[in-house]
Amino acid sequence: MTVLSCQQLQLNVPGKTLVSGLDWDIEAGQFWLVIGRNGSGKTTLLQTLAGLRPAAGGEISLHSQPLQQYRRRQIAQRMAILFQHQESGFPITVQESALAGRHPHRGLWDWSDQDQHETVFSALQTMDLASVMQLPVDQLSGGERRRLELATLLIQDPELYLLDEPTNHLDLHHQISTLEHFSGLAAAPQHCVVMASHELNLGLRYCSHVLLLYGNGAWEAGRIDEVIDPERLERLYQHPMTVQPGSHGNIYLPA
Amino acid sequence: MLLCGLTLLHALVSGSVPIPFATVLQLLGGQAADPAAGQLQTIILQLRLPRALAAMVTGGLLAMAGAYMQVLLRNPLADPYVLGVSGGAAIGALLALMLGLGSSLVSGGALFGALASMLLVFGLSHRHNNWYSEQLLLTGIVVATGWGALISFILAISPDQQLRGMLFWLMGDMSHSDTPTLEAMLLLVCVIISLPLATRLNLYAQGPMRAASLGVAVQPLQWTIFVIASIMTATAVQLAGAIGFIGLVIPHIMRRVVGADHRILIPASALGGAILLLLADTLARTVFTPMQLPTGVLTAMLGVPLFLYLLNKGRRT
Repeated sequence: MTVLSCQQLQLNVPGKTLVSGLDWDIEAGQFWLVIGRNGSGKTTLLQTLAGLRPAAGGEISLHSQPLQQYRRRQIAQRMAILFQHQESGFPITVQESALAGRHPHRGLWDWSDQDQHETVFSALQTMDLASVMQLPVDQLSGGERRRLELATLLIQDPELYLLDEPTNHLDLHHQISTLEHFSGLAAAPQHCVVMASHELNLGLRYCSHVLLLYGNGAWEAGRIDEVIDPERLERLYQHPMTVQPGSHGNIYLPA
Repeated sequence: MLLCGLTLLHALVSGSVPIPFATVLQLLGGQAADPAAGQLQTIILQLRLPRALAAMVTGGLLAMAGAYMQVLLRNPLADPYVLGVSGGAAIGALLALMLGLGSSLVSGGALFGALASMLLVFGLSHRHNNWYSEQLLLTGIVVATGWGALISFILAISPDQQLRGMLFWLMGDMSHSDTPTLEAMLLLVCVIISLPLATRLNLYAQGPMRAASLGVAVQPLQWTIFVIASIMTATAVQLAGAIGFIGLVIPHIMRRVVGADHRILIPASALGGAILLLLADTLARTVFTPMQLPTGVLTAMLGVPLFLYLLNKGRRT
């Protein structure tokens, strides 16, 4: 089942075309890795898919209907985005911050936070945050804050997760447990995940598909085993690569 | 709520003519037996009660407008007065005073000046359907400074007999207040509107992009906040002159007391603003009785120590 699809999508930043003619289907059960050099359009792509910035051309459809025909609330019920940077607001607690994830599913007058407690608690537990639930967000470490944002996404419970560098600030253990969790989600029917990341080897270990953005309009997409090879990666990153066999497949390292 | 009621009673009891508590309750109940009581009834029902209500409504409106502005700009410095609204209102009111116009035209001038100034500031910082909060705040401060210079200019060229009235207006003056029926209704409507908006305000306070990703239609929300805050500020200004400080400080105080959840914060701000301004106005009437001080002076005298105390207390815990 195709959840989100792009037809001839074009992405520009002032003075430059980042992606052009992108035809791309994201289907339930897929875990996509988006890679490319700095400024190649990964973040722009994710935010455009979420309907948060206009595309320079082409069409995005959600369940075969143009994205523009949906209300913001309907989009938020179906997809959630993890931002690379979190804007800071007025001080609130971890629990209040996570509760925001329920917003797309609640009515205007549905004020009882108690009913949401279980959902919130289990998501915070998944992200290893149950012990800091009552703390103000500004007392958390960088990695804990990142996990709080991920927990908020889990509470939002969409079909499609758009993750912009989810492993930023996470320690080794939490990088693995987070990606384990999302690959488990993507494997379940009706969910799919798109992740932009510079953690090439982690991404290749957990993702099923890959989208390469060359930053000059060119792109390539497909199954990881069909698309990834050292030559392509060298062209993508414009850096010589070495390959070593590892316990989860090949390990690619910069030479 | 209770505190609010007690402050109101206190306001009715105190004044140049002290009236005992029991008598006030009797008179409010509508019993006026002898002529002396009739006179007291006049003082309470026609002088003190309207003025007390006007102070409460003004304080409530200003504090709520401040709470809205702080969300819209996502900046704790935002406040209708910092953004140049009071300056614009002052120009309108002072021009009317200088021309020797009646008090309703002074109010009208203030209303017009406030709205014009807000449209100017927001128009200048509204680009590509988006508000950039830093630009908004800077524009507001610069415009306010411009108004300040114009105010000094007007004061300098005004005849002496009008100066005192002008200065009182600039410092916030409740002494010409009638019963603010319309304004009170507006306050009530704005509190009610804020309730279904509040969860969206909570999300917007965490950032417009995040709010949008969680299903908030950001642009309509920004316009709603802007329109509500503008109307509330302009109404408060035409009612009572330039009373600063409440819009800035009450939302902060309330955030420390009840937390940052706008479902509670906005009604609490309305209540807190009403209490502080009423208290200040009662003191303004009574401290040097029978002389009356400008309300704005007392607002700051009460509010500054209270705010500094809460700020320090919050830091230690």
